[in-house]
Amino acid sequence: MNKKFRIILFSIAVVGILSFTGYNYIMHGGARNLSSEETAYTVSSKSIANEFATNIEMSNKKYLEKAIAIKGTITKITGTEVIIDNSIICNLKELDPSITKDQVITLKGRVVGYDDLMGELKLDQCFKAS
Amino acid sequence: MKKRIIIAIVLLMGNVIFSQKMITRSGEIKFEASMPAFEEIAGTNSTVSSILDKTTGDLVALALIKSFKFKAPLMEEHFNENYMESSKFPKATFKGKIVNFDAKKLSAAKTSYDLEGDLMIHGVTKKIKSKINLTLNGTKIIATSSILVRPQDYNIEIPSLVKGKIAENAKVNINLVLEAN
Repeated sequence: MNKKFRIILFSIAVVGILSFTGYNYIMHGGARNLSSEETAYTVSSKSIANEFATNIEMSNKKYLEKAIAIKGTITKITGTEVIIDNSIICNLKELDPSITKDQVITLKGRVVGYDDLMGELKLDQCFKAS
Repeated sequence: MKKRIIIAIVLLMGNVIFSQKMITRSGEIKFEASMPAFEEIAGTNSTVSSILDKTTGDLVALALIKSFKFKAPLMEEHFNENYMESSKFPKATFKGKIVNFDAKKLSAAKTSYDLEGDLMIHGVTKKIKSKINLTLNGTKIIATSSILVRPQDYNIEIPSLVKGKIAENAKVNINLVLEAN
């Protein structure tokens, strides 16, 4: 009797843990953490803007989804939206008061794509890399 | 030859200076394809860029698919990899016209206009017709629209296994706050 009870208790615990981790995985799993990820490319704002302006398809293949670091001068900042050299839009992961206008900076982020309407490259999940 | 280039540049510059372009970089698109009683399927993109030409009523908008944010990262991954194939088709665009648009008639009261143009999603372009509401707020123009998008029309395949959980028509709400350039 005692043994049976223990087996039941044990199996309930197992099912409980499994469903909890399963639920957690579905709701929160699979998120990327760029700060622990290696930087795929380190480029200057001008060189990458040029690359995208000359050949979008090739550049998409090379950069899309990758974690890259871009160096340049900040030309505009509104909230979490930082514009580097009028051509690269970085959306910061969180507000960073240490980032200011006219600062020369290296930002790391995920390449989201090229906006050929505005002629701008977009990144998100950005943060200060140096 | 040189002269021609100079003329072309001057003409282009004139175009930039005199055309009344209203732009935004932070337009919002919300899409929802939930079915009642099932998991909420909804994503938001708040980095939509759009340009409205005040003289002609031409409206263009562009959304990068990878910018859509979901509640669950796994849902975002499926949206990008299985349905939208965002590495192959990184953007969705709209190029069209607000019919009978007249910048002088804009007011603080919401006015409804007809919107028609080409919607490109997943590499497939379709002509669409819809309504767009315009409101003047100081110097800004607020444009809102709601359209229904059938994934099937854009060659977006939904496996039969999950068909019951995803609405046949995705509701797409657009909200643009356009400012003078």
